[in-house]
Amino acid sequence: MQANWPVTGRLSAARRDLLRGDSWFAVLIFTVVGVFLFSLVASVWNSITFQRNVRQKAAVQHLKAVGTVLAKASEALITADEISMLRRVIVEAGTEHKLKFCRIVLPGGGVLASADPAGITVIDLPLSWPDEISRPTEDVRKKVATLTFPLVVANRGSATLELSASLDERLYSGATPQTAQLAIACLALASMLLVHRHARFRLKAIGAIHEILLAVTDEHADLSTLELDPKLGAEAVAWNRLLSEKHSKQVCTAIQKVRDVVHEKSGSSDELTAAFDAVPYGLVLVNDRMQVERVNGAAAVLLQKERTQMVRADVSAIIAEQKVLDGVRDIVANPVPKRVAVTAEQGGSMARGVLKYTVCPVRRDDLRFGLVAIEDVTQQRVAEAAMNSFLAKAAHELRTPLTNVRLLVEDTLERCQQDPTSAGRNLNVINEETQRLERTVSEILSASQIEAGCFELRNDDVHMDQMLQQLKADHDPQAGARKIALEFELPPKLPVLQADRDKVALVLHNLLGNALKYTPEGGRVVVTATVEKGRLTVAVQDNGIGIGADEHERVFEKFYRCKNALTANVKGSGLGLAIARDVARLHGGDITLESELGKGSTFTLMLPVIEEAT
Amino acid sequence: MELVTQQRGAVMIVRPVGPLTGAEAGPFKARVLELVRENLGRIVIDASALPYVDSGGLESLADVAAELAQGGKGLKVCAANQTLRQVIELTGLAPQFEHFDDANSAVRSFL
Repeated sequence: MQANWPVTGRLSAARRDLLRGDSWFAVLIFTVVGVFLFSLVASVWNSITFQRNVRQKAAVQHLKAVGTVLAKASEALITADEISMLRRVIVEAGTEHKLKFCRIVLPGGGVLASADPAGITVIDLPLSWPDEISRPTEDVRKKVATLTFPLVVANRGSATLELSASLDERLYSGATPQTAQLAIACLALASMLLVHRHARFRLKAIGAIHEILLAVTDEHADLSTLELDPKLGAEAVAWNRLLSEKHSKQVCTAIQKVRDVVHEKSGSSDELTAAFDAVPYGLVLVNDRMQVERVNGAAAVLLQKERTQMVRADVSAIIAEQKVLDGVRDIVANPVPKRVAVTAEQGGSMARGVLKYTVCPVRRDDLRFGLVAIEDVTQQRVAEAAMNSFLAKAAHELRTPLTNVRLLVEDTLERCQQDPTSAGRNLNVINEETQRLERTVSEILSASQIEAGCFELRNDDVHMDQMLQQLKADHDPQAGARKIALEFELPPKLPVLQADRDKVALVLHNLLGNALKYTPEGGRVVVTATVEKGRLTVAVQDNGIGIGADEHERVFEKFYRCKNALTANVKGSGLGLAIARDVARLHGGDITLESELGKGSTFTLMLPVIEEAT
Repeated sequence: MELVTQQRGAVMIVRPVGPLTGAEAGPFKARVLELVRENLGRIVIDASALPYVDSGGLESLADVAAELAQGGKGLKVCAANQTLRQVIELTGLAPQFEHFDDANSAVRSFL
């Protein structure tokens, strides 16, 4: 049984192969071809058999005719006693007709003549021999035909002519066309089998591809499962190559899709980053784990951190304000969106900046983020503080003369009838206070304009030599009245500035006026002017009361008055130097102070001398 | 070249005095960037005493503008003369700067 298993297995496999797919067609073809071949073989065989029978009969008839002729000739030759001639005829007949044997046998078995001379047993013809009457016989068997013819020799007796010939050559020589036909048919069959075998081998791959194509409905199927055995031939190799290319294409497409998605995301991310960076406010996006998800450049600048170190860092390492952190924590933890605004000074000092933090919720699906918007409000706070200070001091400066005026008016009203002289003195004081009020209001207005940025500068040609001469002329009387030596040390030639003439004059008058006001009688005030490095420097030096080092900057603040007791009686709004320095700075210059208490002060005005491009 | 700095409130005004050219552009940029960081970007370039700039100077200004742009700010330049304005316009750098007539206007823009 075990020995039969492979055979059974092969038959089962063959049957399975024959019945699979399009193999039924091959089976049909095979059957038809088989029937055809069987019919052809049968036909050929039948034809050969028929031909053989015909030829066999013809050969026998031929042999019979030869025997008949040969019998008549032999009777005549024996009668004529021509034994030699007889024997020669027999030999020639045997040779001519390819007889197996041909002989004349006498009764008693003696051979008178034979195609084979060795078979002659009766040399001489006897005169007479027994007469045995026989009949012609015909024996055809085993591809050999044997005929006998009775010979009657007058007056001597009877004899027998025996002929025998082989029918093989005669029979099968005529079967050659059929044999060739059969051979051609067999060759055709063999060729067809070979062609079929080859075609089947080739079609096997195509059939497999066909089945795969019918079976594959999912375009996303794993292509590796669709590959064919390369042994199936060039088609399988080509199919596998196509699959490989398709797989590569799928991979490329997938990669491209991924790239597109990534690019889309990164693109949007880049756009988002660019949008973040374009915002002048610092933005810090914090996730529910209190980590920084995203940060923009402004936040890095305002928080003075490296941007790369901020991303994914804990927000507490970025923002120090506890209120902000509490707000962020509250927002990311609280499902109810709310907004938290916190203003904090960096490092507790306005000098380093004031930042306003606003924390707002950002919701996306189930994610909760807190967005911290950071605004640099330092300048606003400085401006607000300056404005508040300015208003307070301005109110004070306005209230003082107004109070004096009100008191003097009340006093005058009470005493004008009894003391007209006092009333007149009061009116003079009221006049002075009114003028002071007017100056103060004017200076406040100028300061306000500077502060508000609407202090307009004209662009005049300012001839400094003329302006300084005019300055000297204006202040000589005041200096002379107080016995102060006013000196001007000027170079032979001074430049022409591009500046606002009135404002520059105002600055110089303020500086020189202050020097004369705060220099005691008998003092000395020197005005010097120099030009170097594209800059005009005008220094006003006095040997007055001087200013302490701690007040060097403060004297330029609006409404600031020195604490020196010697200046208590000197009236002023405290705006002059502030306005002067603002004017100088608006011109691109500056005013500096060098002073020492008790030794005097030097205020230096610097103004740019604009050079033309070369 | 000399750099004169003035603090106006929370704003730092930087006034370069003299031409901004080749060898001076590097130190100028370094100093201005330092001031940018110290003042959180609140800075104004007062060009009133800047007669002209060459390519190196323009590059340094552009670098400062790029640094400020990362923080969402522009470089505020005030009182630039006609020559400087033309150079900035012709080189296509104008969009990188914010131009003001005077320092006060530039300072007020921070409000």
